[in-house]
Amino acid sequence: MSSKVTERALNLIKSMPRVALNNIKPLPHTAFKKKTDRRGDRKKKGRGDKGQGARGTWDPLGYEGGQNPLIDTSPRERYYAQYAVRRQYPPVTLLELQRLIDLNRVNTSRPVDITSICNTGLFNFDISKNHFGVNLTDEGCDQFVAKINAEVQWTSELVIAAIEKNGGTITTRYYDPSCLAALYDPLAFFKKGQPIPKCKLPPQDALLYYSDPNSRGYLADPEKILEAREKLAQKYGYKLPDLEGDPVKEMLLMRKDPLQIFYGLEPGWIVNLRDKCVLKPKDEDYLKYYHSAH
Amino acid sequence: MVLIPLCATKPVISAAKYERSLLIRNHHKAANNKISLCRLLSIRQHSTSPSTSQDELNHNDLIKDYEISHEEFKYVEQVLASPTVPELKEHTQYPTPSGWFPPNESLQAQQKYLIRRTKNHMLPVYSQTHTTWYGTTHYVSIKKIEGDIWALEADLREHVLKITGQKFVNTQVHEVGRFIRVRGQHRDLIANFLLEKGM
Repeated sequence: MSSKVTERALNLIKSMPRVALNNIKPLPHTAFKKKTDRRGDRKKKGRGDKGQGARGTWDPLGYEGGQNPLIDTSPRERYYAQYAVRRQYPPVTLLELQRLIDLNRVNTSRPVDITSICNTGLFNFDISKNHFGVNLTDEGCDQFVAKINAEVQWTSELVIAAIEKNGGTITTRYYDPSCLAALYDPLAFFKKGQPIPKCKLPPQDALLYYSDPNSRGYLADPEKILEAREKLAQKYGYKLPDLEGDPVKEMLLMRKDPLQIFYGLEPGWIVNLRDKCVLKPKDEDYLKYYHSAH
Repeated sequence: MVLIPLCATKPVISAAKYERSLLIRNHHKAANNKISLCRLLSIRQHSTSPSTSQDELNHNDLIKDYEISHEEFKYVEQVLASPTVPELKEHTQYPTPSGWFPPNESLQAQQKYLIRRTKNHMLPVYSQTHTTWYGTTHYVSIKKIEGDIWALEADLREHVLKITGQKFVNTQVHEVGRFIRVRGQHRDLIANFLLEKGM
């Protein structure tokens, strides 16, 4: 159907070389016209008369004519490597915790964990800012008198001593961000209708801390923790209260499973807030997933 | 990867759907790479990603075998936050270990003014920092004032001058908003003064 003209044009295109970088050139009107008449610039090249400017011998950058330059006199901040991906633990002091207990904001007849601190509504944690829980700091360690079962994400030796001196116990526990989202605001999490997540194991660089009996890590050997308690009592010179004869021994020794994030609730269960019940799936594969660390 | 039972709550993604979503994600990735390549070569490109509306949940994949427990809901209730600030408990002696004590009503009755505690049982005294191009200014604001606000301002002024030894102190009184602002870093000084007055 094609006419002869079309056929000829197609044949022409077929015979012509393909358009490539080696055979294209700019359009004629876009070509830069070279300036040939530069009579005025023949002597000084637009750089003025004499001096550093004409000869290109300027001072180095930052040189201030011999006086101590700003870069040497002002203090510098060392490069904080990988600050954006480091784990952050916002501090809560022992004094603040004691104030919460005094004003009945935290119930000491139950274990005190990140959820009970967040439920006061007085502290803000944000997963998007790499907050990995609470760092219990030693400010007010002399005023601290409460007997609690504390579970925090980071702490120091002095805090451990202050709590154990009063007959309490403390554990350091790692939670991964998706678990922390549930722990920061349990109501918002249960409203989603998702199964309770299983907690991941700590990352490589935190594994040592969370399996160390001196930091009361949750992965440490319980017998070694008992030894470490006595050692710490000797170091700070206090008498360790007897755990065996304690009336609230059961509460003080309550611990979560490494995969568990709420007391009494297992990973994989689903909470129905409307009917006020808990749903426990029975599927084998499902249970295998939620009861294994990997 | 397994499936979650159907209940009153929203069902979560199934294994089949999860795999499909992975496929779609990879497809999107490939499509994005394609688009950027086309941009480089300035070739017009039409979207080729499949519509997600075809991606329906297969109800046969859901686990229907689950146990319902009403007993274990008490553990959920233990975890949920109280909607209100809990009531104070009686202490044998004041101040408490953390240094808190309740307002003294007999002392309060002697004053011309009253400052109510916040819902958290603390004094409504706040330090503020205001930074502008000419420098940083510090304020202390005292809120929830009832009664003679000017008498309180005179007392505060006198107390701050006496303790710090300054020649003058700048204050602002907001009669309608019922608050006072004092210039300077005097939060603890002012708070202790108010506690002595029984607030």
